[in-house]
Amino acid sequence: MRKQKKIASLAKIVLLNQVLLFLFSILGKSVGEAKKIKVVSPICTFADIAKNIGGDRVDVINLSDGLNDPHFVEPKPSMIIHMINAEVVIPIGLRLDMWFFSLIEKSANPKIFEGSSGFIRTYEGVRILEVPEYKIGQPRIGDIHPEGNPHYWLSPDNAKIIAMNITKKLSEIYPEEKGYFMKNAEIFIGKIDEAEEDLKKEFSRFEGVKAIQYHKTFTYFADFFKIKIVGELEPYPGIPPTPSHISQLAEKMKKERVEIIIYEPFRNKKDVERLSKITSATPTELYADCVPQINELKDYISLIRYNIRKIMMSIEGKRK
Amino acid sequence: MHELKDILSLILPAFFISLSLILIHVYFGTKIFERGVIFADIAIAQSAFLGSSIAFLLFDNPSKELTYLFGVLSSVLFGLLISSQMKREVVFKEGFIGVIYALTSSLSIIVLSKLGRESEHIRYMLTGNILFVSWEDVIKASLIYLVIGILHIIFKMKKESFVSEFFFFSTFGLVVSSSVSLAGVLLVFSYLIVPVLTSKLLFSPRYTLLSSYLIALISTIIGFTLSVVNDLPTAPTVISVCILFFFIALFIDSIKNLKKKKQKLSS
Ligand SMILES: [Zn+2]
Repeated sequence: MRKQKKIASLAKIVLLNQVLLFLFSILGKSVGEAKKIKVVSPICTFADIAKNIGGDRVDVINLSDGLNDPHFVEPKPSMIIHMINAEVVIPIGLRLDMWFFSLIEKSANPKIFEGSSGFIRTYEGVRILEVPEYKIGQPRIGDIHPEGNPHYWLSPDNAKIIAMNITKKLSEIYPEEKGYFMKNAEIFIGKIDEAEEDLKKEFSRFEGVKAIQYHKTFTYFADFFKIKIVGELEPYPGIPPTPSHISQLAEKMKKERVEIIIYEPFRNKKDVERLSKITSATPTELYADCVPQINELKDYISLIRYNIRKIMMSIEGKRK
Repeated sequence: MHELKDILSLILPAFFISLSLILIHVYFGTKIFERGVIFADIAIAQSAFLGSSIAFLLFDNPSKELTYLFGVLSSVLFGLLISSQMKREVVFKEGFIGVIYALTSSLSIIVLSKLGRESEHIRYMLTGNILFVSWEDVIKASLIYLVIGILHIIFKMKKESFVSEFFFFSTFGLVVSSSVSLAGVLLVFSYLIVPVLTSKLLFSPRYTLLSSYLIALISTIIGFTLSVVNDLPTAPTVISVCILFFFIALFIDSIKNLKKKKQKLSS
């Protein structure tokens, strides 16, 4: 009996502790960072860009990162809390991050609704690739990219446009900080220019290399670095590979001498390995978004550098 | 303290929908258990899911109502099929329902493979997006459940006529189609079956309904609390707690059985 009581009281203390910790964490946050602008981003890349521009005036949170598929994110209670407190959101749009839009709706926070001052149209001015043509009202089988390819941030040129869109919007909402934001944007774009030039030079002898991608994730990236994408493992964006599609793809890859298969860490590696065995193209795992806790991938520029070096390593290993 | 109020305001609709889900599903769960066809639960839930995914295949951006209608049609159809076989022996019934489950699941997978664009909606239907439930959803669903609950009280039919079985399975289909689209197949299935199983292990048959309600309620409260405090996806947390209780009950029951055996041996 006594032992049972002891366990029960211990359990109570543990639970109480958890509740208290939770309350403190909320209270602590609202006291310490009272004056910063709260920005919520669906992915690490946009958060990184916003941090570079907002500097110490912003408090940016990303809800997903390169380890997860940005198309599908499991909503958690904390995400809605972030939305309720957000002053600015930086969605991806083009129907990629529907979950992020559901969170905005659920938050009932008018500051961040589409069309409000806190809603940034991130891709304004970006040339969107692969915009499909179809009749309105007809059901479309497959295709999670109904408004064109939404993975636009992986081209460094587009990252600069995104940075300017964020700068413009932040300056509109907080005109007193405009000079500060503009200066930061200039520095950030300078850094991208520098990295861009270095990487292009490093990569120049591999330009024109042929690749297969799992999903249409790296289309903009490949476009920028002159990698020729020959096809995708997915027959349509979002539709898992079928046996007949894979065998057709393998034929095409042999004919075109495709050297690498690029895919993100959350894709089905078995499909990639099977295709690699038939065609001897090298599986090359790339990231489509930065990952704060991994040093080599900690921000956008690191991410682009990581991807380019990974591809070079794959091709060099193969051509030896 | 501003944030705590926020959390409550967003959790409350989800919590209330769980309460009305418990009220109707645990009831259906006990009835299903009496019929000895536990798999009918998930077979009907899966056929409702199949119907809704077909709506996505046939129409561009179907409305909630249209999706619901397809779910109902499909589950009533499969309910009819199941009720037509209820006179047979238990082994056949279970086997038949297993076949229906396998069929509806494979068809769902085929339909899903054709639905790239909408597969995120569909995915939410499977795992549940209970956090996004609005007050409007809560009221609509509760009204449906209320009407069906009243119908069941009025038409308390004797078991095992085809009409009574059809009435049972079609109203069950109506309920499940609505709840699957709100809370996902997994949570619906858990509410239907896990509390009843747990209570059967611990309490006498007289208290089955009451104790199942209590078990479902307690796991829901604990699940919601854990989800908010530790920031876990809500529906899977509730399901895990519910099943944890089942395993605790199983453990207690095994010990009881062991003791009984020992007593028998010694006497
Ligand atoms: Zn995509």
